Amino acid sequence: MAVLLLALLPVPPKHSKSSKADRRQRKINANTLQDVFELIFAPLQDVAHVCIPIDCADGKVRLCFPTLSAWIADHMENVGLHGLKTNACPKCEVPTNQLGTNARSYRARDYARYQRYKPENQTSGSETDDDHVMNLGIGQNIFHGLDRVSASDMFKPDILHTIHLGLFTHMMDWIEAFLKKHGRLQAFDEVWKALPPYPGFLVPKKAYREVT
Amino acid sequence: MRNLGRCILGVLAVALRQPGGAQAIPFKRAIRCVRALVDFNIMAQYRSHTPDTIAYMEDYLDQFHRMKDIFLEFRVTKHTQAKVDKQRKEIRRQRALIRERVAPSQRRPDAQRRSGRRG
Repeated sequence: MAVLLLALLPVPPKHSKSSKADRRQRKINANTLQDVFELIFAPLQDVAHVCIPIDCADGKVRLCFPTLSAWIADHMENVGLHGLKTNACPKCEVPTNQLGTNARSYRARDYARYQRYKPENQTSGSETDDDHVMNLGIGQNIFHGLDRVSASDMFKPDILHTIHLGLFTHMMDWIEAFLKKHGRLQAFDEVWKALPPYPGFLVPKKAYREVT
Repeated sequence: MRNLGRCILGVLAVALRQPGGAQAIPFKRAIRCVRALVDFNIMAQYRSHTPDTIAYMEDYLDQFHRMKDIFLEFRVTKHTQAKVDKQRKEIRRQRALIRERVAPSQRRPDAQRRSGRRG
């Protein structure tokens, strides 16, 4: 896999207060991010309709239409890029209280509809039921408006963020608390340290709790 | 964490061996829950998928959701949320009961009196 550095994104300091000045600054930050991405995506927009010749792995040259199809990031980056609140799913309109359940029947996010809806809402200044469904943040979705790109399909779960850093970290917290409650934590640590070596498996030298 | 996925199930099974009388069911449920997550992780590493492998992964996910209750008390936010929801429901029920008990004719003078005081 080849990786090419295109740009370094500006990361502004966090604003925890909800004062007017902070809100204005957050809006400016969101607009700056939007402008940076417009710059990055500009060449991609140009070739979305006009094909370009690209060298293929089999040695031939083919006419290609490169399109953006995935964006791998952790959740906080994703909500920033999609212009959502932190407790929102970037893929579908699942309500916040349904997160973590096995609900799969919510419709995919339609960012075109959100953009039509947002300016009207901002003038009225009041929150409606739709706001809670959409969970929109301050900025706009940076992927919306790109040709041949479906913004709600940009989010792709990956092993590192979703499973190793997300799911397993939580699971180990639960297991530790569970073992503590049932008085098996010592036994767990002893078995953990006594694991035999195996090809491709790195034997842990310390107990799980001793490794931060 | 990569190593963890390879050994956690075995380590947990050994740590939870020979359960006491009341521990048998929670231990079984905890192992099943962890097994579902580990199986899901292993299948997620496949480079390509068929409808069968996707069905397996959905099965593991369903199994996790069926068994996750065993860890609910350790999932602080979820546990608190469940408690808060229960309390809110109770408050709403009590309010509805009070409203039913107070007749509309009794409520009106109160409201007038309150508005009079404010003015």
